Amino acid sequence: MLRAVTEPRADETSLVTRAAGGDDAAFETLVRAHSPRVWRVALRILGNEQDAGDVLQDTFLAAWRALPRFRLGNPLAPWLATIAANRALNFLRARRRRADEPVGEQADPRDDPAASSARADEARAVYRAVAALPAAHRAVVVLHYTEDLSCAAIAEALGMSLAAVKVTLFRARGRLRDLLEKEATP
Amino acid sequence: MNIRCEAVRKAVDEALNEGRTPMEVGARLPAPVQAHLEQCAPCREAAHGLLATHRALGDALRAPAEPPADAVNAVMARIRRGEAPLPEPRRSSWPALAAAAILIASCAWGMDATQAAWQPEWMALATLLADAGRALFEPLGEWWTAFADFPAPGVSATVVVLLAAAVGNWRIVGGMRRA
Repeated sequence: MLRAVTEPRADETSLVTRAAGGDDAAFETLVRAHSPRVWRVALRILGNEQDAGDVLQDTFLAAWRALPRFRLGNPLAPWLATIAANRALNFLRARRRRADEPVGEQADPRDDPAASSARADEARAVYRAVAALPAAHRAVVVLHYTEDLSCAAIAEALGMSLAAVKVTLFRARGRLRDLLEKEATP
Repeated sequence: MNIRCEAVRKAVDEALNEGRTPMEVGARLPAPVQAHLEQCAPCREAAHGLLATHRALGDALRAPAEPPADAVNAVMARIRRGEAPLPEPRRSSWPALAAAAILIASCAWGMDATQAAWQPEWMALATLLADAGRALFEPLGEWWTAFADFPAPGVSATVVVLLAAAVGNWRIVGGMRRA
């Protein structure tokens, strides 16, 4: 299986145990370690940095409260990613945006000097295409591709059926392929 | 595109759910699908297109992204101030309850109509709904008998169901608000 469940490292388990007991310094270490991934999920779903910043904070506030219920021994990253995805979707609903409304063009990827210009162009095209998907489809695509979550894990995280997740990925990939081909056509 | 081709393309898409690299995806394709791809140029082209999209998505979405420098401090400041996260949105149970009310009211109407030998052109539908209604309501036993004897059970069923829906919704949403 591609989406191998990674075992949490022993030090992470210890930090989670301490944080669940109210040790905010331990939690800060976890926030520092996981904020790039949470940020990435929020940014890819929401498409702009200001909203992503709000969702990042909200995700960790929710995680802090929910940590005593976290099942020790499970990896923390997918748990945080699913909280972030749900919080991002809630954020869009709370802002009374229509769920099908495309988000604004996503902020450009942080330029990697090593990356070729063609690759950077391709990444920008992907972000534009992903931003054009309905919000729920975006969340599925982001969790699958950004976090390597399996279809079953995404279904559980977003409260969807397994079949619905597969159909969403099928449709999203088809739509993205069309959009990317359109972008590639001069 | 015949059905076989459609099935092959779905199989390719299914394999994309499980594999990251083209090799991993290829290894998940059943032998008949691989054989078809070798012979069918349009399917091969479609599979290459899907694989290219798959790779582009993975490359772009997995690219690292750094949050603003003050993000961690902002989170920790809010935690140390004891701030709560935004509340989860409440989901009203009205749509499900309304659907249940319509279903039950339709069944009750069917029973009304069959009892009153209503307009014959509607009798087939009324009989179908009445049968469904009996299946739904008869387990209520004596309650059902008293209910069926009541004048215009269709109307009274609708009223009862809507009242129950209103109370149920109020309790559910109220409970969520308190949670």
